Amino acid sequence: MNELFRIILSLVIVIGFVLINSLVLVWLERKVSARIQLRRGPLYVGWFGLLQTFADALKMLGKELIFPKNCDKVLYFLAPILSFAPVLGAFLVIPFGQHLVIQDLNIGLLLVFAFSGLSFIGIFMAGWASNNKYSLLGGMRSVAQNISYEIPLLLSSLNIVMMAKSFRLSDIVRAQAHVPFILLQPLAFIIFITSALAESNRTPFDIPEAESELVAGFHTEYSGLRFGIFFISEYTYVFISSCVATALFLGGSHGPFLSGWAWFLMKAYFVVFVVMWVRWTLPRLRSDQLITFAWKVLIPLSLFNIICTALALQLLKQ
Amino acid sequence: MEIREIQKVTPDDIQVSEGVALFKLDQLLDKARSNSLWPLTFGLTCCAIEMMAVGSPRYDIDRFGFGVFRATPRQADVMIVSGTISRKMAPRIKTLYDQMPSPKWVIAMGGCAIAGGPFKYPGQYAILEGIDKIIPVDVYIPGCPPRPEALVSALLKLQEKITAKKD
Amino acid sequence: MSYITNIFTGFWSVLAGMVVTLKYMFRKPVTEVYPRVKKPMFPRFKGPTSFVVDEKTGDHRCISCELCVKICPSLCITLEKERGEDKKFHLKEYKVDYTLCSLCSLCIEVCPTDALTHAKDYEIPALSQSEMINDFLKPFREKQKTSQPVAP
Ligand code: SF4
Ligand code: SF4
Ligand code: SF4
Repeated sequence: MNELFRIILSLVIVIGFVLINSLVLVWLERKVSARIQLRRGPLYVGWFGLLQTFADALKMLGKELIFPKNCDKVLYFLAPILSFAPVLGAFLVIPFGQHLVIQDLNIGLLLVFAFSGLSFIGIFMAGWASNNKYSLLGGMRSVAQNISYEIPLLLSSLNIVMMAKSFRLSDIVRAQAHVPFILLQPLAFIIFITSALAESNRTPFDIPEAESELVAGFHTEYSGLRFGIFFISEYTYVFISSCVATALFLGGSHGPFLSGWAWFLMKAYFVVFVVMWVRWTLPRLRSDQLITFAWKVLIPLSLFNIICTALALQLLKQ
Repeated sequence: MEIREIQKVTPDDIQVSEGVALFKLDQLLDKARSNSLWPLTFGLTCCAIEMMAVGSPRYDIDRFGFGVFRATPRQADVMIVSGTISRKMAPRIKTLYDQMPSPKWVIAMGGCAIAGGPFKYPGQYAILEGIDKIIPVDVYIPGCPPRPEALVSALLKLQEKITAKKD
Repeated sequence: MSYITNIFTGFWSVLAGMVVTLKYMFRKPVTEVYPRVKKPMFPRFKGPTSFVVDEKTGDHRCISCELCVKICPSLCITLEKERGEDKKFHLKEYKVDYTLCSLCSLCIEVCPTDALTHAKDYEIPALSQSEMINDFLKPFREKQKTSQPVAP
């Protein structure tokens, strides 16, 4: 009973955190993009435009919700929810601090990947149900991309599992008490970040919603609140990827002076910043280049990296 | 012409009565709407160049929260008709307007979009003389082309129109 | 071999690009905060056309010759005149439909008395079409009203 209460309470906290977090992230993204382009970004709504995204969200609440002609109503309605819900599940195992974790499962890492793999089903459903050719193309591209990039994502985190000898995220963080794994596994980190970018449909891998070719990709037909949910789930996904990258490579909650959760959040937001920085630097890849990059570059590299890690671990043991 | 102060969400919008803060929900929604007018990405002819300038670093309408140009009409709030409307293009513009979810607004930019501009003469057959023949227009910006500042001030005027007291 | 060098050059170019954007992030923005700071218009800026106020008489210089009406390619000038007692034309009404004007300056070039010029306003959005028909004589009429003594 106590346990159930704890989980419900944490779910409420997580949902609140997710909403506020994504609003802040959108604001941050607009500011970062503005600075890179020598602009000023949101400035007048609230303090430094901090209320800008709040106004956007409120406006979306007040917009008309449209069901396109001949759409599959059930799927169309379910798709945003299905793409958003799994992201919440991934929060279950993220170790924000030494003891700040909702459920410290022994297969934590696998759980995160399982949940993140679910979210593109929602995206494909959106593409299918909208009865729009651009949406469908976007959805299919999203599936192709997610299946390709899931593999290097898993393979690169396998190195970490081999070194920490556990799937439990808190164990992995504990193994980095002295040296964060990014110093030992720089290649794995780069592969992980690249695939995580692709998994969360961010530029330069945003071909599912490529504005110049596919109008808006899978959410072409979504308006108002439903589009807002897609938006929130994208940003939450970015945040989750950064959290996992922090736990796997950047030493999680370890750090001098400050308490654990502060270090964790600082590192995670730094990774989020890097993701935005990449987004506003690089142009979009072509769809064939994208798949080629996954299968011909990332997967061989990560296999090579795994072999090297295994050899090194064996040599060290002897 | 006088341009009023920039819109802000101020504590005046919150009415305190019997210790309970009651938001005037309608006004709050209007404030939110007026502060996040997302334009639809499309330009018709030469005026579109000035519209692009407005999104660029020099004029940067993202400062007001208008900078999110959406490619799909389903997510846009305001349509900036910028340029000559040929007879072929007019039905497409009508379709795009119909596809936008309400509440939606239209800005007619430049002489062509308002009334045909320099292309209007007796006996012409190729262009539509003014976008307000097919869709309702909220703000007109005369000029050929108007300066980017004129478009910014038109957006601010639209903001004013949205938040104006309706009774 | 080219496979490996490709990977390295690709990675290197990504890094180089990111360094460039990082440098830009710390530069000063070039944005003009427009409604707060209104910059004066340039000398050759073409705003809506309007009458020049003559420095000596304080009136306009138009002699109702209708040259501007004839040359305007957008047919947007309406002019009404009447013959006064001194056998000269007097301007009764001069309106420019600014929804049609393409700011081509032809009327300004053709005017024999240099009565027309481009104004420097640029914040001219309107809520309806009728707001955009400029009555050029309006400021002069208002001036007359204020300067003439009110009849007892
Ligand atoms: S008003 Fe002038 S600048 Fe604008 S579209 Fe028409 S001709 Fe081009
Ligand atoms: S500027 Fe050109 S279009 Fe405008 S009133 Fe003069 S002649 Fe006509
Ligand atoms: S050309 Fe000049 S003087 Fe002649 S009618 Fe026009 S404004 Fe008046």
